[in-house]
Amino acid sequence: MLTIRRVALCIATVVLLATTVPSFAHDDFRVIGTITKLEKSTIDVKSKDAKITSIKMDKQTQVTRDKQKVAPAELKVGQSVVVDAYGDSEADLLALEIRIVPPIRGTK
Amino acid sequence: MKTNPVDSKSAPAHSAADIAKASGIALLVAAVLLVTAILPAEYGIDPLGTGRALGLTALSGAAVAEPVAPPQGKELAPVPEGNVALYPGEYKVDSREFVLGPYEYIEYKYHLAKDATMLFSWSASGDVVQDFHGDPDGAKGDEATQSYDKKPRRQSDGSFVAPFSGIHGWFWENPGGEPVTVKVTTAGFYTIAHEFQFNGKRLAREVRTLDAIPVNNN
Repeated sequence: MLTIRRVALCIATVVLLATTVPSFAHDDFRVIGTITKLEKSTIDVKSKDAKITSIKMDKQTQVTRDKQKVAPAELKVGQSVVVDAYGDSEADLLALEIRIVPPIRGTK
Repeated sequence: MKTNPVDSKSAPAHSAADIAKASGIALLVAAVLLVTAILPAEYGIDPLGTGRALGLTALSGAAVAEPVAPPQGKELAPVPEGNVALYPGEYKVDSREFVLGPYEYIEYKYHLAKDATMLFSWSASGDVVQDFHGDPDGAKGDEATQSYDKKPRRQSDGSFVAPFSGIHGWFWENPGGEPVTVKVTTAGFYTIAHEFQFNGKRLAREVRTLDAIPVNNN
């Protein structure tokens, strides 16, 4: 009986950790700049401070232009974009939405 | 007719002892009056309680009761007293200016206890997306976020009473390609401000005490 309780307690602890830890491990980030490199699942964006941030993309990543959803193939090197992403840090970001915007001064 | 002179011998003679006795009684009566009536009425000094019993202390300036201590507590939470809310500390002031580049956003929030009050004025030099909102203490993510006002505005001046303990403030986003400056000034019973930048940076910002306000003697 005691063993069953211990096993149940262990399972409950594991489930609790698995469901709570990821929920506050990520922060929101916005990267604004020009696309410098484009791969199937990664986009590199150069900000106005010349820093290049590499951001992952997945099937859930939305690409929009003028508030309309467009195909990921619309993304091109040299375009100005606003990327809303989340992750633990700027080095580990997953893009939620990539907005194609008119050229932004100072980011080329 | 001849009038008889007053016979000085018929007037009662007072001895020195009688005079001393009368003086002593007079002094005693005066002392009793001083302690029971004059001191309570004039100075609020009432060692025997006769002044209070006779209602004489009300005549003195000491009728004002002992000063009431302000509410105690670590948190700047209001304690209602009729139409007044008292706090265990003074309010704070803050003023910030943010320059938002194209598509940048910022969140700026103050920690307020439940029912604590804040006055605010903010204005933007151009169009902004704004959301005045709050997050309860201990909340994770955006699920518990409560929005108070997200109408399109370039300026807002108002007062706010926190519906719960947590951080309360504004999200401002520049939706266009030109920089926009947002200036916000507040006064309230908050303790600290938090700045959340678009690039993930989070900063705790000190707020100013009333000592920081110069006294206007004009």
